[in-house]
Amino acid sequence: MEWFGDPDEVFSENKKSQSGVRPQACILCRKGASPSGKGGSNTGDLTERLMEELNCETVFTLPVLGGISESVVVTWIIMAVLVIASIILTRNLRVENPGKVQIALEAAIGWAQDFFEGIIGKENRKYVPYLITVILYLAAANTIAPLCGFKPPTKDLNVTAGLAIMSMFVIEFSGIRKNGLKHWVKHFAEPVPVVAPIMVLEIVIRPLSLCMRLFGNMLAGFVVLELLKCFVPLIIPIPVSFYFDIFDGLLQAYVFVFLTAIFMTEEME
Amino acid sequence: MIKLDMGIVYTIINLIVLYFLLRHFLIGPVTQIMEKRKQMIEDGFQNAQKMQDEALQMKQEYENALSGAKQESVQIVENARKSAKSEYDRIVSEAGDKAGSIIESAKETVRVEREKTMREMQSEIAGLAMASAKKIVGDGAQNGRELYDRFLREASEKTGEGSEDENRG
Amino acid sequence: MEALIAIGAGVAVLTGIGAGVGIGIATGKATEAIARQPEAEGKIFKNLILGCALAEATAIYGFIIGLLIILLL
Repeated sequence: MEWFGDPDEVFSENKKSQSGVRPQACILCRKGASPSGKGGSNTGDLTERLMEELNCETVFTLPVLGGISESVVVTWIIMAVLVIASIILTRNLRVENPGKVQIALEAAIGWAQDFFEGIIGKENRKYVPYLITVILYLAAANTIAPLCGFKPPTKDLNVTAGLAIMSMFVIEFSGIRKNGLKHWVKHFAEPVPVVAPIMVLEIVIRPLSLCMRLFGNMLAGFVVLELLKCFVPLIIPIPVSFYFDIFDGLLQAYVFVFLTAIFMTEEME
Repeated sequence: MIKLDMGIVYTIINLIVLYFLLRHFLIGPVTQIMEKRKQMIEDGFQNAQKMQDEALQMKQEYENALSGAKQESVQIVENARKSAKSEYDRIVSEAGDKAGSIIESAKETVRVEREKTMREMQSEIAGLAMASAKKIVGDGAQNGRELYDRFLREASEKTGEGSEDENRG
Repeated sequence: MEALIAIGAGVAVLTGIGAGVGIGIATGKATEAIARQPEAEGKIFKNLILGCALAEATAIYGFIIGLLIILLL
């Protein structure tokens, strides 16, 4: 865990230092080392430990808006990094004789544009920047754990729910914008009016599925990695982290945006 | 872990803000640059097409001019050949005529010469005959045959000497 | 009670069987398809990833349920 740098500690250091020394040992070791001796069962300790890891602490509290959770702060950091990186990368773009960085940037953006235009069609290219934004944010958020040591924001259900709600709005908005409100209302009754409840339910089910898939994947990766770190703290978690955080994270980002685009296409038909 | 709170709203706001920021700072400029480059390349293509068309047109013109020149040159050569041929024909026929007349005159000269020679020979022969006749009359007659032979011998000697004299002369 | 919770969590995680079988079948078919038509590899791969992600979702749901059972009961 140490070589990833535990953000949990960074964020909650103040709190922890007040309440006492934070247990560095893993769950299994903690059972023996626990001074209070209340850890009667493995499950109970595991539960406590996992809950500790999984909870998103409130970093600070604003007077009116309430608590700002850790994931939101990490999201701000990601946003800042993305915006600063894009400002730096697009600082001196040239039409002629582009540099290597510019070529790579253009290739990436061009690939993304072609990819999304291939799914949602060339006439709906105005939605492409939103999809690119989401995939960039998700790619950064899912892989931030091994790269920077923060807890991935997508591990927080609030973040994935927010993303899914945005996806839902964009999906329905694209349908209404393309075919008109009348057609949008009517399309629930197709092909037969009997399926209307299911079709209406689908509005909610699609983002719910998106949200739970992303959340579940990231959470699963996180939990598996935490457990593994408890058992084998050295070397072994690295390849596993590569699979769960890098590969699976990028794949889930891809899938989230891909499915959003496909749902939009369905809605715009 | 599994509880929803204001985080959803913050996430949505964050996402919208990020969308506008990225659209303004990343996707906008890059897309613009790519569009510009595309435009430039298209312009370049159009220019190249135009230039090619122009070049083709010029080539056509050149070819037209060239083929005209070729025809002209062919005509000139043809004319020259024709005039040369006629000149040649004229020269050859003239030469033939001249040669014919030369030959004719040479033949004439030879004929005249021969006639002259013949006439001289005839007069010679007549003189010889006269001399031989005088001899016959003067010597008396032995017999016809002998006489004849002598005459012939003498005549032949005479002509042989004559011819020898001529050669010598 | 704890034993029951553990059993419940274990049963919930059995959803992984379906996902595993599904992804296995999908991958096998995709490999066959690529062997048959190597030029369509890109499209096949894209669809395979999509299908795998969708099939995996059931396992993920099972995992979440299992986690919820352990953590919240």
